[in-house]
Amino acid sequence: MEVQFHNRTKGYPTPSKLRYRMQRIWLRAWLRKLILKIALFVILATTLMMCLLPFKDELKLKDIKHSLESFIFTRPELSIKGLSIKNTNPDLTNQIKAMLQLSFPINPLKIDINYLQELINGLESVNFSKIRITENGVLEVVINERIPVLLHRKDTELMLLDMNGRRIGEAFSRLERPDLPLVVGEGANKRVQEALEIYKVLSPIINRIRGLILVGERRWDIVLNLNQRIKLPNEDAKMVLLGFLGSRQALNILSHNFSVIDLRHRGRVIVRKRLSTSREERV
Amino acid sequence: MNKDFRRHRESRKKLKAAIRRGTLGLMDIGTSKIVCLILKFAAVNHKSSKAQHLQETERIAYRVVGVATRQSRGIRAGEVVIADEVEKAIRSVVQQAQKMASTTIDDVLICFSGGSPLSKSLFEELRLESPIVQTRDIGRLLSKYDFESVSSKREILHAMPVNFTLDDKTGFTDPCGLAGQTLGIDVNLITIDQNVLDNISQCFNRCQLGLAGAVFAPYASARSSLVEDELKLGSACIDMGSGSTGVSIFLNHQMVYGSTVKFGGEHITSDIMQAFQISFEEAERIKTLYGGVVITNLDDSDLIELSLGDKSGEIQHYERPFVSRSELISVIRPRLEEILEEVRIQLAEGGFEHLPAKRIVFTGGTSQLPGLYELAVDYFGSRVRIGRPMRVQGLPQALHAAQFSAIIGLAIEASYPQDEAWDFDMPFKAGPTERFKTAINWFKENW
Repeated sequence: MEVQFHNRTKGYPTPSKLRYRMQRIWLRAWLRKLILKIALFVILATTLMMCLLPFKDELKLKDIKHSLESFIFTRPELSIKGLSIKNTNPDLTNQIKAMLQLSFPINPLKIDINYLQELINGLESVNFSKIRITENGVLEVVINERIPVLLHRKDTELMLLDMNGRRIGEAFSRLERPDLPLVVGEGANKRVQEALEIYKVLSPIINRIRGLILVGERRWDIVLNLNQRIKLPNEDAKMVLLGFLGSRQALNILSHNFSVIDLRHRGRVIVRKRLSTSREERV
Repeated sequence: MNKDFRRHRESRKKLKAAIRRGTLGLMDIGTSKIVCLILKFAAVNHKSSKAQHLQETERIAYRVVGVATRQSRGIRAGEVVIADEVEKAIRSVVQQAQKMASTTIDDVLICFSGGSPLSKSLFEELRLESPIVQTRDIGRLLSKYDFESVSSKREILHAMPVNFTLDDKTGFTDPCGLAGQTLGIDVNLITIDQNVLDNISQCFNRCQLGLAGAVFAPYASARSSLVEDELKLGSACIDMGSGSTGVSIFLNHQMVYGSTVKFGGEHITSDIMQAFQISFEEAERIKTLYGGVVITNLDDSDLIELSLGDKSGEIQHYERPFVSRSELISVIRPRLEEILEEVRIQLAEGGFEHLPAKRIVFTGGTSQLPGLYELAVDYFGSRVRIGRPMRVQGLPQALHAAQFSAIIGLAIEASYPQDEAWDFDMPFKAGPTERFKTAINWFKENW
């Protein structure tokens, strides 16, 4: 006997495929929570927006941003409280401070350390520098200073030079740095080493030395007091001078009243005597 | 390895994963109704799952959190005939249950009785290498079985090792650790027609559900309806469903025979429908409300009024407005007798006479027909009872009725699965991955 298929009746409500799937998605707890949270956030955000909409002219976005920034950036934990400059003399310290023009406390995000370093390195008396922010919130600048070793007079300028002949700064008069030796003449800054070596050799008679003059950018003249000169040769000036000062007659010659000692000719010392001393002494 | 075995292993993995995750859907796909249960499992102790003993003593605590039942559509005699309708029915019932449980299910364990199941007993023996039986001996022995040829053009639904023999002794439930020379296993193989399971699994896939296993419905109802003694001493469970009547015989807690009779309550209703020329719904109504098996004198005068309208409000024009109860019973009884006759044939085939206890438990929707007990006693003697499923945590009282015995049995099965042949590792000539696995298993067993 054939069993009649009786079940095909109308009115068998079934959830549609979409609805079934939606329910299955909705029943996953984590997803439900996520969706609820997002919905809550959206609702809150829109209500806040609606509330603030009437005041939108007063509340400029920039102001809010600024106040927010200041709120965040002025936190004492984040700010830089001070500046410490190490390895320098007070003059340079003041100079750097004046140049950086920082007012503390300041937010580290607002300063560009690379720029600051460039500025500091741009200074004449700074060899190189390191900048870092310490744990205590202090901007620390460590400076390797260039040390002046020579005074160089060129035309009317009086310059301070370092070992490499680089200009560090100016001096107003010789008396400002009596400890530094003086060189004069065009191109003397390129021969600092040589000048210093000559000065070293001259140390026994340093009291009488007024300075060195580079003549024609090739050889040195030593200027002593009483307007006396020692002319050095182009080459081997140091050795020649050493030989002269080491000789027996040197002290004798130097104590005489001469105007020029010429050492330019190898093996010979030409001394030009001054005729009357009395006139010189008057000067 | 057998392709059915591979598929069953896949579903076993799914089942275990679902239990570990905590939720599992159960579904009884019957001819007249479709039931969905959602189980919530307690956290599983992972260590216990390592033991591969046959009777694992630890059961997993569970609770029913979602229940839905619905008229079934597109199913005839437990088989899918209209896939679209079945899909709809599954969708609606799953949605309802998920709503109640407020969780989703991904994997479903189903029971069904379609596909004209056949039960076959197989026996093989093996000489043991070591004096003591180990789990891998069982696997080695099972690999000797020629499942392929036995189930030619059919699919294996169950392959249960029901009995172990050791030398000349029999009746072992778990031979692991016992001493002996030859080990033998009785395997009860239940095969169904090809593609039946595929059709059902297709319907589930279209509802975004995975099949975590299929259980023979009479077996499931027996697990919920038979009590301990009956399971032990041998008894039959007759699951009288709507489209078919399932027969399963149990001995020593194992199903030794399972079969179905292709008659059920629907056929009774159909008889009533034809006898009185009324609609199917009306026939079903008077069958459930007034139906019976034994005619008494009073029944002649007990007139049953036929309602003239059905659900949809259409007016039906029946030949007569009344049917006497005795007429109704005289229509029901022959069909029921036919069913019982068929059941008797099946029981005889399953060797029911040789059981020690010979108890018969009736369950399923049709078993609620008044007077079935008396009729059954006439047929099978006094060792008959009408069974009700046992209680399950969280299931509503209304669902502890006979027609839900299969799904309740399924819940019991899910928490305490029966070992099947594919649960044992069989040695095979296989690729590197399998060999690697066996190496790992060896390490696990020895340390």
